[in-house]
Amino acid sequence: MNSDIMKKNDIILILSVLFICILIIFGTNLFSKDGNTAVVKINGKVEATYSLAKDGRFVINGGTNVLVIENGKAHIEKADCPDKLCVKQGSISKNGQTLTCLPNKLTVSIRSNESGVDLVG
Amino acid sequence: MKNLRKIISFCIVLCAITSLTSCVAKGNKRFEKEYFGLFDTFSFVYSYKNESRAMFEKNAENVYNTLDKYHKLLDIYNEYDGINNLCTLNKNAGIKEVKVEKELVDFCVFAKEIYEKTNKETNVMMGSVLSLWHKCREQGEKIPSKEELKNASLYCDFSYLQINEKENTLFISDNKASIDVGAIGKGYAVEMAARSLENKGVSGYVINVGGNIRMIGKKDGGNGWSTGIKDPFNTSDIKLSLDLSDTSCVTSGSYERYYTVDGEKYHHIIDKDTLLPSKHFPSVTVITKDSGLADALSTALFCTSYEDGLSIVNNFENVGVVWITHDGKILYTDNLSKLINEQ
Repeated sequence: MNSDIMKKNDIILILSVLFICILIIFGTNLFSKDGNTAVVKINGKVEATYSLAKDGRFVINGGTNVLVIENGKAHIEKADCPDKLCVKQGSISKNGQTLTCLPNKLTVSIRSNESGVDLVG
Repeated sequence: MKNLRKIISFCIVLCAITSLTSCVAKGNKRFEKEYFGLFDTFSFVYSYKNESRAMFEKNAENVYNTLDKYHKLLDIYNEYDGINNLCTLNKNAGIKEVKVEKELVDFCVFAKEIYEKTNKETNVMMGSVLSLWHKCREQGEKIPSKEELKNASLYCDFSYLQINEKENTLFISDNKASIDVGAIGKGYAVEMAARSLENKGVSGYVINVGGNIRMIGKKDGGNGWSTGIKDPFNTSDIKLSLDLSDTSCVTSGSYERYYTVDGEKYHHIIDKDTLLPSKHFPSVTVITKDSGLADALSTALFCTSYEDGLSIVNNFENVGVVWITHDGKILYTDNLSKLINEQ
């Protein structure tokens, strides 16, 4: 009698633990899907992060640059630097991509949990 | 009861392993640091190692200090208290020799070797021509005249730089000649920084200075870094990627630094034969372990035809190259075929 109950309880325990493990795996994956963000740094320090899932127009670095999030991509629409190279760099949306505005010491990098490239050269 | 305990401990361990692996298995960047101001660009240090933040901070500072040291030594626009650097050398051109630190002499010896092995394509003594382009690009209104460029080109032979390894002195023998290390300085500094980490047994790191990428060891376990090369015609897209580890990846391209005069774009990599921005390719990427060599070769191969480039590559070992042509075709050396993923 004893060993039968033991066996049944053992199986319930193992199954529930396995179920919890599966929940953890799916949980971390689900949360990471909305994790695509554009990270704005000035002189190496984070000023702001914006989710690529929400369209918006953001004035950054006290007005020197304007960042636009549109259709899951980020680009710099306006900048007060002489060359406007940051504007010419176009839009980014994937892990490893970066926009840079040297005169304003500004970088916009994509942080993403989706697979893609690690580095862009 | 004994059995039950065994089962419970097994389950707890299984739980722990599952949660750990689902977080770390993706091989994500663990720490990153960004510096502005060195080599007129951004510098990044990334760690993919499962280590403490304190350890990362220490290693990143190490990298910063090495990059900063070479940034000051190789700067041709500014001098620094207590250091004789390349700006000092240029100021004394045609006047007197300058005593410098051994590191700077070693760099010049490297530059001379590069000049010879790249058939003079990568030449740090092209300063007289390059400074004409720098000035024009800064003003943004015109390009140097053919006559100015031709006169300046008479002072570009490497022999204008005299290196005394015994006394640690450098001398530029004519005041119309000058040194400009834009083609190799960044890569050389990155290599020195990487070696300082390697000497400490560090691996799983990436140093990226303005696109000059140096990977140290492997990313995690046995994996490399998936490294993308930008499409020169649409820089938001990636043209191809390579699976790389323990190596450098340096791209020379016409699409990042340029200015426009009368509707025509002039980029920053000057061809020694035309004295104008090179037109052979919009993008050339070199993959080899030594970052200084990768930087030097990416410039040389950007400024030559595919065939001439291949003959330069044959002067070296373990060098891989990717050329993207003006029609968007991808050419590459055989040694990269197993590592490439075209997008």
